[in-house]
Amino acid sequence: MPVSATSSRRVTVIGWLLAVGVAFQCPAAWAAVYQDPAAFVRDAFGGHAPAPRMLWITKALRPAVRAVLGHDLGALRVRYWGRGHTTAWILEEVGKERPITVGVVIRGTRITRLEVLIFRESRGWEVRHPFFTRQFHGAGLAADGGLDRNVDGISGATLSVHAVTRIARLALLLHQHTEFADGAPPHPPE
Amino acid sequence: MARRHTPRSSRSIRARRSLYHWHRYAGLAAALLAVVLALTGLALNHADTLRLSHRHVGAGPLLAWYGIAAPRPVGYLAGTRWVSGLDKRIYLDRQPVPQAIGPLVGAVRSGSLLVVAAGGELLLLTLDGEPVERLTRAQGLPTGLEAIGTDAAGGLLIRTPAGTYQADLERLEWHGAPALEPPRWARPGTVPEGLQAALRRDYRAHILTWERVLLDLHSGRFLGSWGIWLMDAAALLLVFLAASGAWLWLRQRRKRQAHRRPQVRSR
Repeated sequence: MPVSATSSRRVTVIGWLLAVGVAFQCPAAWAAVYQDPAAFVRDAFGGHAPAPRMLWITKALRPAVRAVLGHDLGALRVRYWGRGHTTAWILEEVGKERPITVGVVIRGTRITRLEVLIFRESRGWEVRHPFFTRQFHGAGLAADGGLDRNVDGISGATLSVHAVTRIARLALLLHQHTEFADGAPPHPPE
Repeated sequence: MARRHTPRSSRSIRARRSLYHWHRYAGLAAALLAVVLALTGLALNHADTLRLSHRHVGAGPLLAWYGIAAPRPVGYLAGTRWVSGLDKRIYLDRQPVPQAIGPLVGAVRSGSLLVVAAGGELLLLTLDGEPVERLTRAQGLPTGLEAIGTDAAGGLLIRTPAGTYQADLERLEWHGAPALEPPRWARPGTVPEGLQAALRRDYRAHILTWERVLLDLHSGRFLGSWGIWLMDAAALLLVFLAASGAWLWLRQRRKRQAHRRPQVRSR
């Protein structure tokens, strides 16, 4: 039975639509910088960032870090910036395949600011929007090491949501082990 | 009384038989491809649970099909340890350094640390290879890292398109380096043959993920551009099968109902 020209064209169009649909499923590597990390730290301290400090991930601290992240941190020390009872952290965690860079500011025992600074995945970028990051403002650690509040997820960005949540928990945990945590002796001004 | 076939009903019968034959042939033609589509789709639906993006193909024939060949390692002797790079994978002697990703541009020993420059970042390692810290632009590292080296006093230097900087790793400060003495930039050396072979084997075994293979099978790309058209055709055949199958079933159902009605009236 001969195929009509119209049918042939229809098949071609449908075929191209399918091919394009498949092509758009293929993740491509890219990175979006929403805020420079150095600028985030400066903003956290009113334009004048203090000198960076180092927090050593001791053997005693490693199990707690592993419990939060589900894996080792991959470094023996972490940089942070602190003044008064405030610390700022620039931390990274892998969403699906690429690391997400997040800035976290903690005052007392609570997160006062959380921003997605650099996003490198092709999906899940919705986590950078304030409607998501605002949920972390005022969050603290619960007794079980989780956040003391529920964070609403984003459909299609589950892995990114989990990564940002782990970073928030990690920053709160690490803050407790700095000299700027509540209850620590006051640190002399620089 | 025998049913008389009018020309119109004969055409209808021939059309139904033709549709039945086409339905059968389409099913046969699409069977294997449908199985591939279904099984790969099933696996990809659970890719995260199966961790397909973290499982790598080690089978030689499959790697050869994809044309995956290991590049020649670029190596820097830092102290007594070889820091080598193959594409984006970095190794300390034979041990992968997963925290460092990217083209390797240098490695030096600085005091009690090994400093590895790769992918625009600095990775600090203990002499045993344990990662100490990763320095990125987040820690103020100047962008465009091209090379690392040391000055006459053993201080760490980095070179970017914007210039040469002296690194203060304690304070995370990067000062413009005065050109008093020529820096000793790290230079690639000749990686020993045995180490090269081992690194190439490891590289090949960590490039291709099963997720990639399943995606390519599912889309047909596994067979190149013709494979995509083949899978398109299989998808369209499945649509045809569903439509023709539903039509044939509906016709059969109406026929059975029509046969039953005269029997009910005759009782």
